[in-house]
Amino acid sequence: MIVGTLCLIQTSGLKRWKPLAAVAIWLVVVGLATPAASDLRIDITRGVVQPLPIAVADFEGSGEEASRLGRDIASVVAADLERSGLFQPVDPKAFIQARPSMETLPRFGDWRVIDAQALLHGRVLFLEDGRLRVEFRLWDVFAEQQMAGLAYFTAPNNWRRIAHIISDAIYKRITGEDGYFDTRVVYIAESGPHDRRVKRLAIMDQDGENHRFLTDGRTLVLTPRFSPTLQEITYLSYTGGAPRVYIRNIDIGRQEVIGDFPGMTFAPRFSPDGEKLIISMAKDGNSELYTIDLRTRAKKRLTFSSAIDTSPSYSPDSRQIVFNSDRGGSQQLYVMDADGSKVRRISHGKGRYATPVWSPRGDLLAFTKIQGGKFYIGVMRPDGSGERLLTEGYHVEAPTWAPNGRVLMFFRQEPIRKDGGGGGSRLFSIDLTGRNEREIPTPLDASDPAWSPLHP
Amino acid sequence: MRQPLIYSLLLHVVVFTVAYFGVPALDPDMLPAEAPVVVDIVTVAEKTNVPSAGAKPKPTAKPKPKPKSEAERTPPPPPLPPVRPEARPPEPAPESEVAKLVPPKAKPTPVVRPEKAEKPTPKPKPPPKSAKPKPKPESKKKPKPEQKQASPNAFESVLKTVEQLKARPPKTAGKPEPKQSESALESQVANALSRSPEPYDAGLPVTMSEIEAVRRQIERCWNLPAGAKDAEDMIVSIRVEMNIDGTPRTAVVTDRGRMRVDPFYRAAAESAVRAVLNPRCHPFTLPREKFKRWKTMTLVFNPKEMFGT
Repeated sequence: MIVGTLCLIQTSGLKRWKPLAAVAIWLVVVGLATPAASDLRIDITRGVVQPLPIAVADFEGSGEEASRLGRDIASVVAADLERSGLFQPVDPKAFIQARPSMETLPRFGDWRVIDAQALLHGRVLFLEDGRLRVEFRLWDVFAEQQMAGLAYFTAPNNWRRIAHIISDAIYKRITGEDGYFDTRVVYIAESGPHDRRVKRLAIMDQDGENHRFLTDGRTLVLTPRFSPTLQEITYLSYTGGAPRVYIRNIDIGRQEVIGDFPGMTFAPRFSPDGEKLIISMAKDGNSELYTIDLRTRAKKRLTFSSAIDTSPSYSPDSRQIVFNSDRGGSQQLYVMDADGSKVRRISHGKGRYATPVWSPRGDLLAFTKIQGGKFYIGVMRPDGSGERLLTEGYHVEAPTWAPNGRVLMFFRQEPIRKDGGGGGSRLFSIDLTGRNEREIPTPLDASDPAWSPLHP
Repeated sequence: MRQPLIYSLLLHVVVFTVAYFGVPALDPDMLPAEAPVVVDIVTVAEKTNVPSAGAKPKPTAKPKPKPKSEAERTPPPPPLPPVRPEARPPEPAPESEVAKLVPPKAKPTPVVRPEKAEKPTPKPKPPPKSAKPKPKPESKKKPKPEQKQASPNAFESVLKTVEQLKARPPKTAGKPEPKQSESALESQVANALSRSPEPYDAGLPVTMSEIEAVRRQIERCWNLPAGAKDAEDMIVSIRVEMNIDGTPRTAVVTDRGRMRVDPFYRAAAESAVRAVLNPRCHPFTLPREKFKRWKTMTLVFNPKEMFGT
């Protein structure tokens, strides 16, 4: 190409000499630069899926109280990260630089040697006004760069939440995805013999801490669901004998019945904006889906079929609803537009499908599948493709999404007797990839978990 | 008399015409318009040309863990980062407030480790293992995969399904066997390759087998962003400048713009940079004599295959 241009220059008249020379020089430069384009190129198409080794050093603090809080915060953060399955906190006994200072750069070599790829350290200070200042720095050990550095101001008894907020910040910085540690879970706590089961509403942090009961167990409660506005939950209760859908303010503890329906109402769920409730109402052996506007209490019927339609769940953009129905002969998943039009079946596999839940991320639906006498928790895309079963068991059911759409919680009951009895039910979480199934500790048997959104 | 002359002339005209224009195409449809085919030219040497397995670049050349004295390393404590002298509202808000911390000391963006002087040693010798400064025994501790993850094949598909798990048990008796034998085969092949009887010629271009060796090294250290949204579409290209001892000097993500705006891409890109910079996977087994050829490399991380889509 360069030669060609030079020939052109020679054959052209003198008038054209200058611009062409400029072009020629440019081409020569480009020509010389081209070897860079032919650099060695290597395509890496495979990798491993392993938790990222992260060193979480105790947060420093001046004074005994601050030091203790620093240790506690570090241990809560380390536990959060470890439970996600995406991080592996390095054993503090291996640390060479025990306490990196907030004022200076960490000695990166010391952290590389012990295999830490990220380093978290921080400091706790009591301010004069009695508040707590908690600051942290997150370092990329290989690149020797600060990835994040933040300071929080809060009341001292709020330290656990600050630890979860720090975990969320680290999770988001490293994975690109919002965290889910500063969240709560409401569930049904069960106790008593099989035929006289006591079921109570209970709430706890996502790691099982700060557990408390919301109801006393005198009336049966089922299927709690969190409102996207956080302070409220909706559920089915037998208060007064008949099963009805209620809304309860968690902080105030007041509950009220929703809607005035002739039949039994159940399977409630909030719309993504928190302004509507979508429920099933059963009458004469047939159940249909309704929405209720929580301000005007106006009802709207969405389905009109002789089959059982239930377990509705909105897509995060509020434009579609997934539900299950036996209108095709067996219990399958269907998606319709939010106004009840364009109903289409999306599940086509063998077995029955139940309790669909739309991911807050919008890309997947979680469901319970019953096939061949076994239960499965699975996910599929909203068009029904890409079905993947994540876990199985004698009885696994009721998936609920973490607010980042990355982790699912469900309950699992494994029998200890041959008739399927015995064996308590417990809560478990599992990663979307099908890895990292973990039990969530609860004081009693547990079922029907519902994950809250992130604290505002 | 004239007839043969005319024939001769005609024949000559025909011959010249054919020679000039070529044979006429009888069926013009037979020749479709030529579409350019893009071809990647990869150097595959006729003979395997890999330095012997033991011939790793001398580790003696890198007294890594403690290269600098304490004084050099710890910068004088600068005044605490401008943690904004944040306006403290008099009433303590129950929820937390946040302030950003600036790193203690501004660092030049990409890591630049001092380029090591090239040793005149003509042939790298197998390293005396004991020479390596062994850090604490704890450092051996590897991130242990939890629970079910103890899979024999680290490279298996990222997304698990129960059906796959179920499909396995029938063959379970010797569960890890087939895979182990596969990896055994791989190592045999690798051995066979590295024990090449041919004398090593440094003048040749970097060969497929050498590239493959580096690829395997990096793959071991690349921790995929597995469950992220659209993770399979995060293709990251990284430009690496190398030291002659096979360690990377700088690793820079090519698409800086997307790094700034897309946190998912940033996460994927950083995981790729970590794979390159991870000392567990250095030095790359590239022939020192061909340094010019691999002084700068472009590594393209494409996880699509791992998602089986």
